[in-house]
Amino acid sequence: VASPLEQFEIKSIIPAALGGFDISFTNSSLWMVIALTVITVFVVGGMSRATVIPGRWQAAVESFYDFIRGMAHENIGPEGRRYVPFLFALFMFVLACNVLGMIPGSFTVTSHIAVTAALAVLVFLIVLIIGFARHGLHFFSLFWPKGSPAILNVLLLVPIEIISFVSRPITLAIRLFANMTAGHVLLKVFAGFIISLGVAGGWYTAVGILPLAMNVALTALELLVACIQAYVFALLTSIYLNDAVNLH
Amino acid sequence: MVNFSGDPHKRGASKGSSSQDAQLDQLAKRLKRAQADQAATRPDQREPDTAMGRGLQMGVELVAGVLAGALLGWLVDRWFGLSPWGIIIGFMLGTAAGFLNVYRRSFGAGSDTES
Repeated sequence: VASPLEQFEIKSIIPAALGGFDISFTNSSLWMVIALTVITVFVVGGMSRATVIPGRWQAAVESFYDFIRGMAHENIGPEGRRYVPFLFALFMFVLACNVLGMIPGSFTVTSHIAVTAALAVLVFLIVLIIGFARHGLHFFSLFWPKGSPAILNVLLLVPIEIISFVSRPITLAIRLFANMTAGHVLLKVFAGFIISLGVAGGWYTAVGILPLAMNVALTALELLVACIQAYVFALLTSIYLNDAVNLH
Repeated sequence: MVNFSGDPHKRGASKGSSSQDAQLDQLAKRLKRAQADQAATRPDQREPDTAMGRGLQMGVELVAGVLAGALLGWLVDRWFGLSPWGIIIGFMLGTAAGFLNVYRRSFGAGSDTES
């Protein structure tokens, strides 16, 4: 039986190197391109014949957009409208990668911490840039707790606040990566049980029904997790953006 | 819903704007009914509130704080040559930051009790 970790292996499809770096087009790149294609076809296809009274397809696209717009408004306030395109792009990309990863035999892009960490660092840098662009050096007041003695702030609370701020992209990256990896490993482990019990013969074959039933249930659960983790990624991003936009 | 100034709907175009308004009203009514139906049949379950889900989430928050603290401490060591004090103090402060993260996720912005 193949290792349950084999599904995460990166295979290069078109090998290439530039300046000593491996920039091959891999199966990971391929599934990112597929995700982008699916999103583009979905959104452009739905909105190309846009009407006041939306058809089914247009209504589907609008409901996604409305969902993100509502999230931005709820967490950032009226100013949040400016960041809806970024949140929408982020949400759609993570969602498409997560859900496409559920197709048997496909590659789950978001199960690699390199990908989720890159997205998290992007969010972190954008929060920093927006914070400094809007508030200048006053942005540092984010790390200054109010209502405690200044000496305590300098010695203890400000370092803790800074560390807490730096830990945000780590949380963001690990959450998505851990959820996707754990789910897919679990699916493959149970799939392995089905095969080995199935070929064992006799009573074992009958017992093989149990992991099969488990895998059917797990597939549904993993689809839910795929959607929820995309939602959580966008939600946490909007909460972090709120800190940069509205200093409290 | 978003308003588009582009080509009007096929059915509404020939009949003029009054019938389009009626159609829009009807659509609004249908949407409201569908949303009410959905709200009634399934509870607002955006993040499954399972004990395991929450535990994992809080575990990640705690570990991320410790990691960030140790990382910053290690960087301070490298930049200022304070080894090993930076990483020791960074680790302790990071643990505190981890607990702060957990506290914020439980009671602060974006927690289940608030949002």
